[in-house]
Amino acid sequence: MIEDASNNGRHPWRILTVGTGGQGVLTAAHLLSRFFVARGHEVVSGQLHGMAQRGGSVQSSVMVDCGISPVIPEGKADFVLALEPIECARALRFVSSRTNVFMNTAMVTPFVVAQDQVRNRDMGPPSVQELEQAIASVTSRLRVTDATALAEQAGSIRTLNLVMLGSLFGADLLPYRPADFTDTVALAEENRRAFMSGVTWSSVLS
Amino acid sequence: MTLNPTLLSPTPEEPLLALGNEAFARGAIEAGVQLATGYPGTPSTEIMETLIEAAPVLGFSAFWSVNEKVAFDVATGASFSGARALVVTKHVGLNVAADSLMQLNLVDIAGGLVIISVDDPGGISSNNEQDNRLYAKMAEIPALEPSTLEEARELTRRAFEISESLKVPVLIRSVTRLAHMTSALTLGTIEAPHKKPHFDSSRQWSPFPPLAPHGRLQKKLRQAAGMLDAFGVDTWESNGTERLGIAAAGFAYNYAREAVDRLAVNNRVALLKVSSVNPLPRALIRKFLEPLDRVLVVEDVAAYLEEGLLLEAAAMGKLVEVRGRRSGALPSTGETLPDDVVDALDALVEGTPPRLPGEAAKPASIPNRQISFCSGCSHRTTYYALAQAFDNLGINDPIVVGDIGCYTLGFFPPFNILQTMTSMGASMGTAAALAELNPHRKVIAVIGDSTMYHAGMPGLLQISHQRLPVTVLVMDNSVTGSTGQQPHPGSWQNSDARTLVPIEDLGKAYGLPYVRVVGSFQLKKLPGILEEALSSDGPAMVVSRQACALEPSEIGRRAIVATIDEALCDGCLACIDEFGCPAFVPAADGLGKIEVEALQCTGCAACKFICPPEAISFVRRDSPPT
Repeated sequence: MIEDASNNGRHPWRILTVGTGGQGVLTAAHLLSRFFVARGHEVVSGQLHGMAQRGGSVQSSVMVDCGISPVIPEGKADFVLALEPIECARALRFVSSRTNVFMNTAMVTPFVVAQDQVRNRDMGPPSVQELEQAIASVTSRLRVTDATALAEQAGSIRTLNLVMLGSLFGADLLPYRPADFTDTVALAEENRRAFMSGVTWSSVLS
Repeated sequence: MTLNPTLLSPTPEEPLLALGNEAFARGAIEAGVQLATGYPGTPSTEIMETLIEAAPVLGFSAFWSVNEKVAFDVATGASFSGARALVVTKHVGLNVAADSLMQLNLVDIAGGLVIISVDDPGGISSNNEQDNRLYAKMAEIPALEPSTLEEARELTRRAFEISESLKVPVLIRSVTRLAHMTSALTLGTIEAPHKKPHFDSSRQWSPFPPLAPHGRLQKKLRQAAGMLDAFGVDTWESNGTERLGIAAAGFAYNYAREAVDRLAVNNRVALLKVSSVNPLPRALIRKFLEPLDRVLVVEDVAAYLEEGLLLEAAAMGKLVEVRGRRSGALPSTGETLPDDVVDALDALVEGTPPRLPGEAAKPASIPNRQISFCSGCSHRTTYYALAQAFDNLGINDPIVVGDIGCYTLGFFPPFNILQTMTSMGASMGTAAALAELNPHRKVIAVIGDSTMYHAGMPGLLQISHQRLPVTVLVMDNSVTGSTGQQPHPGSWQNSDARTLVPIEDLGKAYGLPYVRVVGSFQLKKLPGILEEALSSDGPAMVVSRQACALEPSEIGRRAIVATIDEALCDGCLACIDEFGCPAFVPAADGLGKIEVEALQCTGCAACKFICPPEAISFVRRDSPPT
């Protein structure tokens, strides 16, 4: 294979947002797209709509100054915002040692797994620790917290996606400060609180 | 979806962030479309949704048709009136309209008529993957395939120009990735509707007799080649020294471009982008092929361009190795993906034999998310009642024929009740023969409301006419549910200015001797009615009716929430094994009992009678449901 000439984890950025139907993955990707466009970047964002509203997995890419394809090649995500840990592990093929992963530890147990679990307590979903280890074995740039709890403290679990966006801007990995985001994208008070709690979480870790 | 008002701007402004499907809608608006119609179908739906919202503001006509053939015929009438008309469909919808397409192509139309077909490579939201470029070839009509939002907008405009100037329908092929991607879109200027519609009665509008029109059609296609060439929609990048090439059609061009950049082989690989699907740009293809030894062709679904290149090379007497989906250098099924293109281009450049990519590695023990009916969905209670009716009548070998819609999830646990599913409306005819050939078994055909209107009605008529003992169970949730709650002729929410045509009226008009309507949540009543229908001799229709749980008027409507009395719950799991509402989850204490996840519960109260120890009751909720 000829040397891959694509980016080495620096600008341009490929951002993958993952979660389950109804968690706000597509909205997070849309807010990010709006922010980067407003800051003069070229943005392409992609998603596959399935029957996500009925409990499925959702993945959305935001490609900043990467050309015209909306699809992240394997191992080429620069940032993963995972609103749910099982979906984080499912996205592992996009992750390399250079990928920064922000993972919410609060699990949305798949419906069928939950039912199996009632019948047989040995048949649960994978533990968050297992999932965390699987991701940590690929990249050490992993930040985890119970972001759902942070969203609840901010006022509603519906602000989970804003907590995750805050974590991206709080980690000081982009040439933008958290205030750049809140100055560019108008947020309701509850959403702003959630965003800032994500900022606080990841800036403490960084 | 909500209309972005910038999409209606009469003149170019700052580029806006738009969805691929919105770019197609804008292209039609810029072309001065006067009538747009279609039938909902992922991944095409947002094109019509955008146009339906834009229509009253800009003063054109846009509406859902009952099916794609009706949509195509409606557009035909508009074109015969001199108006510019658009038909929007997902790939399989064009099968429904194909009869009309294969005859209108022979007629000299008046107003430009454009068909946008959104194909679904990999069948992400479909029963199949099919390549509708082949329809353009069969119908011998011009066809275009955009690769970006800019091209989606621009080629839609161009398609109207070609169609109107050559008096022939023009096909645009899109794919799921383009339909649902977001990027900056630069706008063009909106053309005023150029003509007041007028039907010219001085001529006849028919292909008959067909031979002369067929010759004219072929001439039009040759003229289209010249127009497409003049538009410059196809591009060839070369420094004149390459021996290798990559040719790409439509959206897959983005992956070809990216692969060339990622492997840094810009100086060694010539790049051909083909947006003219039919006719292919033969002269440009010849220039591209002339100096080359090996070529990789990147495209979605069929090896359409690959075969076009092989044919052109043969006609030139040129020996060149052509790799692609046909040769095995790229997977011949499923969506073409960027990593596969990089591998195939790498093998092409290295001169190594093409290798088929393996399955993508996936970490072990990641559970899949089985999709299920939403909480508050009426299909769940209807299947639950049907299973009860079978039990009560001692029917242990029913034949349950399914159709296309959310209720197709009846194939999955906990119901596992459906046994067949093919195309829209197919349940009716399929059930007719199953009833005739399996006289000792009960045959039930399950069909949704929108699917019945779409293509079920002729089959229903046949069941009635032949007096076949089929129980037609209509899952009526008042909208086209699985594509996002679009209205249809039975949608009582949208009936103010339109005539409401309820399904049961069709059943009665078609002469079915047994027709009953019952609320889907009435689990005390519904099984008994199904038992009556199943016990009758002739054809019977039961309409199980309850609005879709995702209908805006339904969301958050009920102020109660289910709750489980821990003392009464004995962990029998009937609520999960037989009913399967996602609001029932294992209790946090891990003792094998069930509790209700309040945010999931819609308060539909349909579960009132399903709990053997009667542990389910209802309380006023303090937080609204999602």
